[in-house]
Amino acid sequence: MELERYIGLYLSETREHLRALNRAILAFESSGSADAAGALDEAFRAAHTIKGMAATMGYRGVAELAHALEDRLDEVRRGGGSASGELVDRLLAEADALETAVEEAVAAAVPAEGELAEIGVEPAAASKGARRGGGARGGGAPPGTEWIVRVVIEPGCALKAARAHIVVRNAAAVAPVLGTAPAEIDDDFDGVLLVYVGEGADRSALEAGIRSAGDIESVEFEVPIAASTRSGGAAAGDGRGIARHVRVDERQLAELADGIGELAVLFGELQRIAAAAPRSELAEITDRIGRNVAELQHAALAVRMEPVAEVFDRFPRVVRDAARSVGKEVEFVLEGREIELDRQMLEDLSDPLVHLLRNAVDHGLESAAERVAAGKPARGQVRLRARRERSHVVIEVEDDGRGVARDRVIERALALGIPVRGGADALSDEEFLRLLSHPGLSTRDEVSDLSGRGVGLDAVVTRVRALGGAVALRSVPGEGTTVSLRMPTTLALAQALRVKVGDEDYAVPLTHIAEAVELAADRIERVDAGEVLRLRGEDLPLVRLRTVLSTPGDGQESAALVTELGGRRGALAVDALVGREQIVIKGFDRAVGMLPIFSGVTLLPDGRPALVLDPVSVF
Amino acid sequence: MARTVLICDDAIFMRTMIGDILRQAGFEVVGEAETGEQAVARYEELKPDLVTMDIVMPDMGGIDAVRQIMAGDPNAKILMCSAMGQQALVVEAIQAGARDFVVKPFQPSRVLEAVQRVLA
Repeated sequence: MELERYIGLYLSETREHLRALNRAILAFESSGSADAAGALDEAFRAAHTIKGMAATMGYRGVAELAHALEDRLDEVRRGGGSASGELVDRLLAEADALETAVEEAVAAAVPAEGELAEIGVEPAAASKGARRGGGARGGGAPPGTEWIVRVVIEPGCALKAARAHIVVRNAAAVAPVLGTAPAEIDDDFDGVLLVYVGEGADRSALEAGIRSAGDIESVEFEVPIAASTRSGGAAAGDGRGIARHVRVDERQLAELADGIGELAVLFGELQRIAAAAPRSELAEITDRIGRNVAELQHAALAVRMEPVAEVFDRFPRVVRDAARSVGKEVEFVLEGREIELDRQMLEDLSDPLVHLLRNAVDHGLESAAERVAAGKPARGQVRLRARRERSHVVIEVEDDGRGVARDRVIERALALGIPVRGGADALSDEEFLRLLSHPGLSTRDEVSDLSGRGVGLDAVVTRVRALGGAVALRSVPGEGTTVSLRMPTTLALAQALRVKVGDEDYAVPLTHIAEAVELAADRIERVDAGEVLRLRGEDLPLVRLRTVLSTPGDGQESAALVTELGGRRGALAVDALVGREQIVIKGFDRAVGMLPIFSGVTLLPDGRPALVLDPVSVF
Repeated sequence: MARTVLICDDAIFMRTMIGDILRQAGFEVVGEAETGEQAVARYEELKPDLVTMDIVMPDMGGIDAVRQIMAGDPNAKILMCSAMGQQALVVEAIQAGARDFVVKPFQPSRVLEAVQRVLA
């Protein structure tokens, strides 16, 4: 029932990946042998992502088809990957079958109108709720509910109702309990209890209290659905301190936010003019407008934000299913559900996080026997944590497993002919992460249903980078692995460096810029692969933005931006640096054939539009 | 020092069995009671760390005994021992202040888990 909320998201994302899959198969067919491997990797990633999402939603059939397609693609990849028409036909037919299965699974999962009304309203529970004077009704949290705690009592427990009473008593000892569903727990109790908890509860104390009741299979925290989205909910709009929610088309919100962003940029120009003008009245009104604009901008950004719980709350299921399929016992801990992040970014992070969680369960955690032998609790722990760090949000996926077997990864990489920079001994965590995320690399010989072939990490790094974030890996042998995603809190605002190439201005977000340096001719050297910039004893691959953008005419390049991502550094030559400023980024629909370096547009203070560049994409 | 327990049950067999389980876990059985009234009296006399309480006993039942013990010592740690089919009574005992319960037939591991929760 909870998964219904995600069907729309699931479907739109899966369709996107199905399109990517088809595109990649076609690219494979039309490519020369040089690009064939890349196209196959791409197709493989798409199938893999589709599989992961389907498994999350519990669509077994889809997941199995995707897995079969993955196998086929892997086979082709191993076979050296030449594309016969027959082979491509077969791949496309399988992609079609996958698409059909997706649509069917979704159609079967969306309940008909009549069913919807019944969900969550057990007649018995509802009538008992009414008898108690309108406390908790089935499916509806009482006003003021901050958490709905879903407690599942172990199926083997005798006297489940009595156990549930202990749960409620323990919960009430540490948090304000507003009600339960069922409202009265008696002999009919089936083992699944919802506890409605009011504001101010300490989540970890509450969870510990509930677990200490014994015979608890799982404890999950859910946020109540906003009152007004339920029809007939008594809590809707009664104005007792509960925020009223209205539904607004997301595009309208985006337009509003974009408009405010442009207003802010134009205001900067007004301010400049006012500062130069002699009239003090103008300066005064400009100041007042400035404060208003700042407030508006703040409000517009707040509208884009959403607690990470919106996406995180489907992960307990992911972890549980992953754990079951490999026969491991896993405790899953969620922290920082209330941390807010840009809505779009949050949705885009969903897949990468699924990859990481499944990786943690599948590769990170040892089997119970291995754990016990190593003196650890048999039950492994996976932790998903969000926390704010100044203007960023850090999301960490942590396991207390074996740690990554560096030796084996390096050995394997060398065996596959993947270059290992700096040699096996002196590999930093960043360089190791790069190696790990190499497509097609895995430390496991057998292919598992889960994160199997190391394809996940590659997709994670790519996606996170596209969102302006960075990935870091920390792994201690025998103690566990932590993957951290450091994300900007919003996609809409960025600190950027304005640069000039030819007559055009471009904005380059500072996210992956380590420094800007003078471009002196005597520091540039030609090497086989192109040019390098010699900087303090380090040779950075040098790319000229003029070349990338096919800028006409001869310009004098005077500066270079040093980019850095996961230990990989490069230098990007530009004509001139204009200055550093805050920009409001507007996304755009990417036209076919557009260079990947373009990541958005912004408005310059004089009102001209400028393209936003992702400098890392050229290295 | 070993933790002390008072075992309340009208059947010797049950008292012996519970006693064995707890002794093996390092408890000292300081007293036994066959009725609710005895349970209340012995609790006040012995102030044990833990009480195991049968629900159905002669004179005063286990639930009333829980109420009286809790009235005298709100921190008393009482573990109910119940048979299947007595759910409503167990719920009543919990509402009266019993910390946890075990269900007959007893499995030593489950008894000890419950004891640990009660004493936590």
